Amino acid sequence: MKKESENGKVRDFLDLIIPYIKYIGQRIFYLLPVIIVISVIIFALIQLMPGDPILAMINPETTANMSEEQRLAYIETMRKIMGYDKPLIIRYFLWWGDVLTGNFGYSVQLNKPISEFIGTNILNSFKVNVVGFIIAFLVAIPIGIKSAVKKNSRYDKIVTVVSMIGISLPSFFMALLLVLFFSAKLRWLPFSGMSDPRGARPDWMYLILPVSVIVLSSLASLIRYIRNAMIEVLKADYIRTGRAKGLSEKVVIYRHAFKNALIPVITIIGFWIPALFGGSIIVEKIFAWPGMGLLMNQAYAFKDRGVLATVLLFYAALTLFANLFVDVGYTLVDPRIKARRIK
Amino acid sequence: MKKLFLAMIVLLSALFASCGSKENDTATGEGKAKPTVFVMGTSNFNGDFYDGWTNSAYDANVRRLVWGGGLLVPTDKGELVDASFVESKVLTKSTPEAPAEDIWTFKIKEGMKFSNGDSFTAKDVKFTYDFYMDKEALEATGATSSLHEYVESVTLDEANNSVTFKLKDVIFTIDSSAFSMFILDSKNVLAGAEKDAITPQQWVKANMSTPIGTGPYKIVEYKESQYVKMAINEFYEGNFAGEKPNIDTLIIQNVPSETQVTQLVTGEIDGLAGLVSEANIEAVKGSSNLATNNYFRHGGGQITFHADFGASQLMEVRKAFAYEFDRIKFRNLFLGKYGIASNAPYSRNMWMMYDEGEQLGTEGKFEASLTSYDLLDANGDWDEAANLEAAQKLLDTAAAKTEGAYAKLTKSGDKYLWEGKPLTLNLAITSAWTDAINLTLTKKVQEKFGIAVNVESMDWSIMANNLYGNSAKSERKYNAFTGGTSYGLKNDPYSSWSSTNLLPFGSGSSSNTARYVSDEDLLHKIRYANPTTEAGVAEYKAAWREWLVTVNRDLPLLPLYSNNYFDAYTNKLENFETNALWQWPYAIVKAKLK
Repeated sequence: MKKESENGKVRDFLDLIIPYIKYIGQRIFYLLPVIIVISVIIFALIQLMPGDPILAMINPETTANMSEEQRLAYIETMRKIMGYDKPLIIRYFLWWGDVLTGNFGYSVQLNKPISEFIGTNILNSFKVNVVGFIIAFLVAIPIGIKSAVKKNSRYDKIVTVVSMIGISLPSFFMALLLVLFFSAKLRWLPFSGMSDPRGARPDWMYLILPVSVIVLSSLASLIRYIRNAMIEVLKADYIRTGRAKGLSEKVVIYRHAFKNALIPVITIIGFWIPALFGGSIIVEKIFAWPGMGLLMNQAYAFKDRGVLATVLLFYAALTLFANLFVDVGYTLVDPRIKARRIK
Repeated sequence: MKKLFLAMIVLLSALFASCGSKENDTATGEGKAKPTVFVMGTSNFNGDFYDGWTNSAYDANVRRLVWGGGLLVPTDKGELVDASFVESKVLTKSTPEAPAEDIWTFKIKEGMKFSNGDSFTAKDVKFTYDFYMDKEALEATGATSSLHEYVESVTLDEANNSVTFKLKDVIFTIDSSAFSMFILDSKNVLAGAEKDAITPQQWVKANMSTPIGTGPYKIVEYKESQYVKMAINEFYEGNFAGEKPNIDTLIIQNVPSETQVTQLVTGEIDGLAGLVSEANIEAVKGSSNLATNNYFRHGGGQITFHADFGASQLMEVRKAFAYEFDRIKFRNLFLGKYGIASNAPYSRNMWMMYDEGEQLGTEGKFEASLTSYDLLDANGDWDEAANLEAAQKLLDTAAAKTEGAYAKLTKSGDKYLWEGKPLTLNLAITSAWTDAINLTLTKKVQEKFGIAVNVESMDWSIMANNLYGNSAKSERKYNAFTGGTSYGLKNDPYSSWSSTNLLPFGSGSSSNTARYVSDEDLLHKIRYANPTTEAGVAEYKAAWREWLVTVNRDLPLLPLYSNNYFDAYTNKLENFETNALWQWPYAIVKAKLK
């Protein structure tokens, strides 16, 4: 009996999960042409950037004492090493082959294969952005809901004004203000970096300021979205029915209203995740946080094509992932969409 | 909902936990004095701490600390002398007829060690030169070295612990070109290469951030894009004066430019080298906790003309442009008040500029004798009327000539024409120069002086392609280019100005970018002056000055500024005496923390 019951549970779980796996697989399949188009655009943009990447990479002082013959031979050697001696179309396919095998090319600025350091940069970016995103989400939900429930109250007006200020304040300005106050004046927090070479401060203290900037710069808009979505949902008939049935306000709001308000919020989060990583370029620069943003900043300044292509590919993948997240998220919170898509 | 919140809190905890914490590693043992720590702020470094690969100035500072120098080491006066680990150096001639001593033998002291404790002998010197002279193996890893241009052969005398170099040519700068190479730990490199079954060059490249050297400090921790932590190398033999480091731990930390000065003023870091902007310099000068050293940059920014193209091929046009360009205004816009301008490719750190009794860093008699392209009024301000008169005199003279390219320059009324069209120079610049250039070369100034200037801002790589002549000849249109130059410890104008390196436009060349043909005999005389005799040194100085006068007269480039660098540091640091040729990694050896 017990075994039959366990088998039943496994079967139920598989019945639940397999349609989702099929659905995700289907969505990924549909994304393939998009990935190819994006990769062509990224590759073309990078390759068509003005200037000779090899000449840009070689410091003139390095070749200053060489004879012309030696200099040209050196440039040609570098061109071969970097694979720039092959036609564009061949380089595109070679690039794809390399990407699929985890070889993202070579950084001319850092003088090492991109695969040696890209993982660390991605992880660093995730640390600061994911922590920021989660905190912003956790804080925005109760504030947004309360603001919607108490629409036009003094609380709502204060939240609205503060949100508008938060939306209007550029993140770099906010970052510098925080540094000035918490690092320069109060001396509570480190200015920049990820860890203390003197060993006096724990590493997590270095997360506080960059995460705070990400939280503060995204909190305001997130509160506005949640508030507006909740206001719309709270007008619905089923909310009135729920209240008439005598359900507690907590149950009405959190179990019935908020779940439905999540649909537009999920859409926003889908667009917001890539924007969050894009926006952290400035935050990472100000806090010398070696993530993807700082890497992109440096790669652009140095015209490090391999790194630029990899970072752009990362942002493109992030956007596609966010779209997938939105699609799956809809099916989780909206039974109508689930019924249509998960079969 | 609760599940969602719970999941997020668990994820947050995991992310914070992954940041970890570390224990204070500066704790001292009982009874011991607290170790001294100095944190130098810097821009980001690549982690290329071996010579030959990338050329970042910030990586170079780490290398200087790891090695301190080669067989010859720098002094605080910009000279090169035997390293402390060299017991003796003997210079001889291969044949009695040889023009100078072309056989150099270095004997290494017994009992020398690398920072990891490996013994350091003449064998390591031989290995290092073989390593950098193996052009094929080196270039296969993307590195480069010009040693093979100067050194013909290297012979090891293991019994005597000495190495003998046969030089190809004894040029005046041979000491810095051939004997400043940092010595590699052959045991360490060969063992690593053998273990990984790769060439020594490949192994060094793969282990670029963990160098073993003979200098004052050794790396104990390196965190990419964050910091390099260094401790005293107990086996260091001392700098040129036999001095050894006093500060126990040296940290070179990447700090963002936005907050670097605030970090210094608040004591978060202890030093910053090479401050240039007026706002930053004023901030550190105004802090009672900081001390500063300042000196003029060994280099600067300039406008390089293509002396073989369009109107800029006429010397008079280049000089008239120089009078049209208010360099004082430009400097104030670009740097603020901390900078000067020279009138030829020299810096105030070059000993050749000075006569007996004159002070480096000041304007000596020789410099004062050069033509200045800023005519000043009685108050020391740029005198527009005088500069205008000088410019038009030059243009009138050129317009009156009819031979060769001069025939293309004519005057119609009060307008100057080049091939029948208004005289115009196309100036290629990078974005950082845009505001200062445009605000200096206003339309009003251009109209008044008679030389129109089309200013085009572009990426450095595009500009460099045009400057080096690497773009298509049919697309050639720029007469002048902005850029910066840093001089080496020793100056050999032949390497960057000889017309033997010139190729037709379209082939590309990064030397002699001005495409200027000067006196080759003079350049040759400078290059091959004998550095080992007093007569040779005097000959070098006289020829170098003669060449400089020529360049000042012909003006293939117009120097715009040379920064007044400020090194700022905590006033707890004593005996920290930097200058343009004695950068902070060298000066920190003698320094002490109170």
